[in-house]
Amino acid sequence: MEHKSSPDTAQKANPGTTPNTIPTTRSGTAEEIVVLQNVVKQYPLGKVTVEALKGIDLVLYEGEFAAVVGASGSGKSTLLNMIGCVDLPTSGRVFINGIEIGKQNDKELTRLRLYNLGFIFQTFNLVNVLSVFQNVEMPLLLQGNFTRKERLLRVDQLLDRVGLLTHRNHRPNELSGGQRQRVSIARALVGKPKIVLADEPTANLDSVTGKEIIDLMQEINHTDHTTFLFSTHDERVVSRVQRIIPIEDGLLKQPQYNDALNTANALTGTR
Amino acid sequence: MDLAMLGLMNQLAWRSLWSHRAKSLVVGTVIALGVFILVLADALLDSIYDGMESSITSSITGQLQLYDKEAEDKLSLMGTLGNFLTQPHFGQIDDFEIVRHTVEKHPNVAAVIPMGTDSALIFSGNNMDQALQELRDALHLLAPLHSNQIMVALQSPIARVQAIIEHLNHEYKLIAQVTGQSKSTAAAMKNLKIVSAEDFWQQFALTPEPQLQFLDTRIAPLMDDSIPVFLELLGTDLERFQTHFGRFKIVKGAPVPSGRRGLLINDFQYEKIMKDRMARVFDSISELKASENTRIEENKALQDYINRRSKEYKKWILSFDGQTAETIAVELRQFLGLPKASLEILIPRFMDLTDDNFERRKTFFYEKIRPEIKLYPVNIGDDLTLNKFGNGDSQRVRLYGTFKFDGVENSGFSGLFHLVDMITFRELHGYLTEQQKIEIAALKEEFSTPEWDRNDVESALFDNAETEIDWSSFDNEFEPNQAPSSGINAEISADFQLNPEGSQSIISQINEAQQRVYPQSEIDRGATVSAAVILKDVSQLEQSEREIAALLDQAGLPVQVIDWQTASGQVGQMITVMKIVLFIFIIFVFSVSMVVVNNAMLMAIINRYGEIGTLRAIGASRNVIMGIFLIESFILTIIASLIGALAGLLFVIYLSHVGIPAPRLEIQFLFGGQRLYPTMNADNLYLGPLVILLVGVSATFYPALLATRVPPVVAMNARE
Ligand SMILES: Nc1ncnc2c1ncn2[C@@H]1O[C@H](COP(=O)(O)OP(=O)(O)OP(=O)(O)O)[C@@H](O)[C@H]1O
Ligand SMILES: [Mg+2]
Repeated sequence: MEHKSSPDTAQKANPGTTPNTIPTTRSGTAEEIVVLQNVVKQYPLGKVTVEALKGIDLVLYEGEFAAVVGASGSGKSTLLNMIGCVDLPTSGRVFINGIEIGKQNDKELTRLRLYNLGFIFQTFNLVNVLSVFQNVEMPLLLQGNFTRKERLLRVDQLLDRVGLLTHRNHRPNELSGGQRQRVSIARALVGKPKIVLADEPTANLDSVTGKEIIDLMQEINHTDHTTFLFSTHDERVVSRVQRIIPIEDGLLKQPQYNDALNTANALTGTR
Repeated sequence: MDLAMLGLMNQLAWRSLWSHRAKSLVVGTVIALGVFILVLADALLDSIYDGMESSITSSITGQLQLYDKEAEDKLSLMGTLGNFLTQPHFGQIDDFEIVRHTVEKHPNVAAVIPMGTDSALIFSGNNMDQALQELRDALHLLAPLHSNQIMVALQSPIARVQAIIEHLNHEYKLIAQVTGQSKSTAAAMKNLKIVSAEDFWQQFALTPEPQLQFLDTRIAPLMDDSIPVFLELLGTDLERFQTHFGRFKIVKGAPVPSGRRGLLINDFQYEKIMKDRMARVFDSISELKASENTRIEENKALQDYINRRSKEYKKWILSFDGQTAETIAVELRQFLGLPKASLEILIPRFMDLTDDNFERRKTFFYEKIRPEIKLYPVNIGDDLTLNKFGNGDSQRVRLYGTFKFDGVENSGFSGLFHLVDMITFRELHGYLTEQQKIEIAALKEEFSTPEWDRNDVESALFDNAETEIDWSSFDNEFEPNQAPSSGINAEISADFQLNPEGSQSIISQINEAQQRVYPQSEIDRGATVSAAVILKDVSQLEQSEREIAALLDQAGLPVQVIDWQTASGQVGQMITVMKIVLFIFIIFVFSVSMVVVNNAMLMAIINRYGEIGTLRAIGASRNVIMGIFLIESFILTIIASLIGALAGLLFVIYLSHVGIPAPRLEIQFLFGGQRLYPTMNADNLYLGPLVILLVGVSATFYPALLATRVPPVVAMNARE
């Protein structure tokens, strides 16, 4: 790519006043990394229009470990897609790291995703024809400003961290579901994103593996202060997150904070 | 996008190709096949071009042809076949010598050779011809004798001729009674009357040659057993032709002696068309057995051919005279063990050929029957009368031998022409020598043309005294006021008129024409239809063509220059046709590969929809997606093209060793011989892969563009 400057320096807009209906923060010092203002998403479905999001206001702070929780069809995935810049809202505004995504063209949105967002998919979505190493290396290659040595170091470091260094040359389809999701996590983290989005990351895993995956993400959240946002209806996941964002029929309800659970960590992580 | 990314895309492409190997294999095979065929077709076409170029340039046209700028038709030396009713107008080069000197100044010119085509008929197989030939032979033997002695010595052959004339007189009386006196019958009867008259033979004693010519041209054709042989003639400077056309070879007889008038017949036509039909049955089977190991039992077409020919036995029997028929019948009865059978039974029985009896019968045919029959309508050494097609002009010329064009001898195309010397050609074609022009002008003065009465001419010819026959009654009745064309009578009489010394000089003139050795200057000086230019360095053809044209322009000569392909007419155009076919073929291969690659790529994109979405979601730009697919099809196309081209190359190399046999005789001409040994040059290798590469990439472009439109959101719903 022609210029390698992280886009978070460009077009940094102040989302301005935070929405009034929901308390925006419990710590005035934390940076607002995601801001949603009255986000509506409608899907045309034949002759009718399905309104998946009906006016969402949400602020996510750096270092948060949060989960969007709701019944099937409540709009969790839709919300994550808006935040993940893979889809645009019908109305309302979405700011990622201060950049309003509605004003970006495809190229800019792509770069926004590349530098600011990491994705963990329910179905892992690894490129099967590439090795574990190559899958993880991909975002670094796309960013383009790394030497071979840097890439090697960083990828192996992450693979070691998710416990798959020994599998670096394997193909994804030679791995178990849990292992694949670990690769996926490594890939999501390798580009040092501001926020990692994970749409039901444990849905395709058994409960033990699911727990391990959550453990891993939590650990990374603790050590690296990477912001995590899940969607889930898995009670075990819900119990592990610091902030629960309930969604029902396209509308957010009052968030809940698992203060008992690592509150201190979560908050101190927002430097 | 840096090198590392390209590397990954490259790896992604290779691995995708591998993981979708069934698809890759299908697409690759189609592409490889396309390239293979293109490479092969291109190489073959080039080789055919070379073959044809060699066939044409080294047999007829030379590299360049010169002809009249004012010609109404494009010069086509080989394209007038089947079009002789409307003679094309190629104009004429008035003075070949000047053109030759002008063009020979060019350093790349090896030779300039005059040329012209015309057609002529010879009548043969005719009792009258034989009788006249006999008479001629006798005459030559007796040449030193005095005319009275000649007449005595010639009694027997003259009697034979007179008997035939008597027979014809009788025939024509019958014809006239039955069908009435048509113009042609009347003309025939008139001519018969001339030769029946005593003073014709008195004149013969004095000037035998003109009388013989009259008998040859006017009486011999009346015998309906005569076989007219149509000859397409190429008039040329025979000596230069033989030197500079590399494929020219004498087969039978000898070359025409330097500076002499003479005819060389194409051996292909001599053997394959003129030769006795029964003899040809034996020849063809022999050839097939020798070249292809054909067995009659296994070859239905050959059986049919033999069958058809043996049904011609009646025609064959008719061609025997009484004595021959008896001799052959005796031989055949003995050979077949049928002591009482007639020829009608014997011949079909004899021609019932099988693989077992063939060799014996062939030997028998050539040993016993062949000496009894006339194997060829004309024999080497014969003096033939060439009758100009369409009018009465004729030229006597000796058949010296047969020739072939090496390597293409069996092709019908190269058997198109017979060669005749330039002097004879000019006269046959109606180009008059300077001397003749003056004489004709003088003649016109003397008999102011419109009132030119045949009587004067004929009486001048046949009668120093008076004749008993009243020609004019015929003339007036049937050909009122017809001015003589430049027919033989006119010529003979013209000679006669212009040589007051007497008739003896006419013989000497005609003999002189036959026997004379023409100096090169006389062969050069005068008109020609066109001229072939033989170049030293053929690769300089185009440049030399331009420069020669410039030289001619500078010299103010109204002569244009064309290359061999144009000059050969329809035949040369076959190359163009083949090029068009190749072009259509390329388009076809192009379209098929396009569709296949396009479909395969669309399929690939549908299959990899989720993968594309995921890549987009994690930050791959549209360019990256485009690149991935383009690289993929590029790799596939390159590999398949290389395999295809390599296969094509190997196949051409293989073919260049074994050769492709010409499936038909005409094809030999295109192949430049009996087999085409194709060669490969670098150009042949570029074309196919280049075309396919273009196809591959352009056919991928649209699917790849679609791929870039895959929204990243599909990654979220992707199922593995
Ligand atoms: N592409 C689409 N086209 C039409 N309707 C859609 C589309 N995506 C989502 N919807 C609808 O929007 C609503 C919210 O869907 P969404 O996928 O966001 O729910 P969810 O909470 O993620 O459900 P689940 O737990 O089943 O994944 C649903 O009614 C769904 O049918
Ligand atoms: Mg969902």
